[in-house]
Amino acid sequence: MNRADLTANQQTAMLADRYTQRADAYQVRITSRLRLQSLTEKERRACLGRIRRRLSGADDEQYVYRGNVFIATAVKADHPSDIQ
Amino acid sequence: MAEILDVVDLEALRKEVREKYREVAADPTAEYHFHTGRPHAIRLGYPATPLDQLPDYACEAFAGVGNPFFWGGPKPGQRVVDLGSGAGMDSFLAAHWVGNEGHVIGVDMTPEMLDRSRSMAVKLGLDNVEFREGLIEDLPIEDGWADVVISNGVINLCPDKIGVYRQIFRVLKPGGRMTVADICLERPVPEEALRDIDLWTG
Repeated sequence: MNRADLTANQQTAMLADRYTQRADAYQVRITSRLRLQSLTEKERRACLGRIRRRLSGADDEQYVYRGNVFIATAVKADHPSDIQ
Repeated sequence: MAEILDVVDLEALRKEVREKYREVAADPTAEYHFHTGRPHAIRLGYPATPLDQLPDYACEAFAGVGNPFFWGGPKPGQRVVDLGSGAGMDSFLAAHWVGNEGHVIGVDMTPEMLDRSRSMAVKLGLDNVEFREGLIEDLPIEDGWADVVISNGVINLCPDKIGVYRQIFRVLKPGGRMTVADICLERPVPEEALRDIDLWTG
């Protein structure tokens, strides 16, 4: 598969798999839930109202998948010949 | 599938991203779809020290998604680049670790965030950190300058991710390290969704 066949986020994932270490810290939905819980009741109602309005106008294609939060680290090779 | 850069209106996306983070800079405690501030940093696992050495005003506009210091902070004397430095919290922590012999450069494209981070650096008395206006796809940093590159929740907002990684590679010294915290989808996103700027910026 060449680059043109991949979405940008897939490209990131592909690169992430080649990192020296990788940790999936948590999933976005968890932070969304915590964020929702942190709002006042009035703010939460307003937020949920906006979500409902957005979802009611979305077609099937717009139900975009949840993302993972990741932390990744990599070291630049000391010498060009080390680069794969 | 079409090349992503042919699908996304880059200028429209950058305008929306700037607008969103202009709001955060102006009013960090307002209602956003993401968390902000010190409690968020603690929840993400930032080390209690040196986080506890930063005043609240230096943390309140923090809007990262993870802890780029998960494997430890930079070493004394090192040079650090912070991609999408925002309000500057990660840069301030890095400045603490690298000390007077090191240097930190934060890069951001939102003028209001740069105003905020620069004024915070002055308030904190940090003269080993600076903030430059620029795009992370075209870093205003010389080749091979950095020992460490960090980024926190920013690369997901850039369609040209390969371009960003090329820039990271360019500015790192041989043997230098990057640590990235970000959001990643591992399945293809429909082209119509890619075109929808609202879905990029939340």
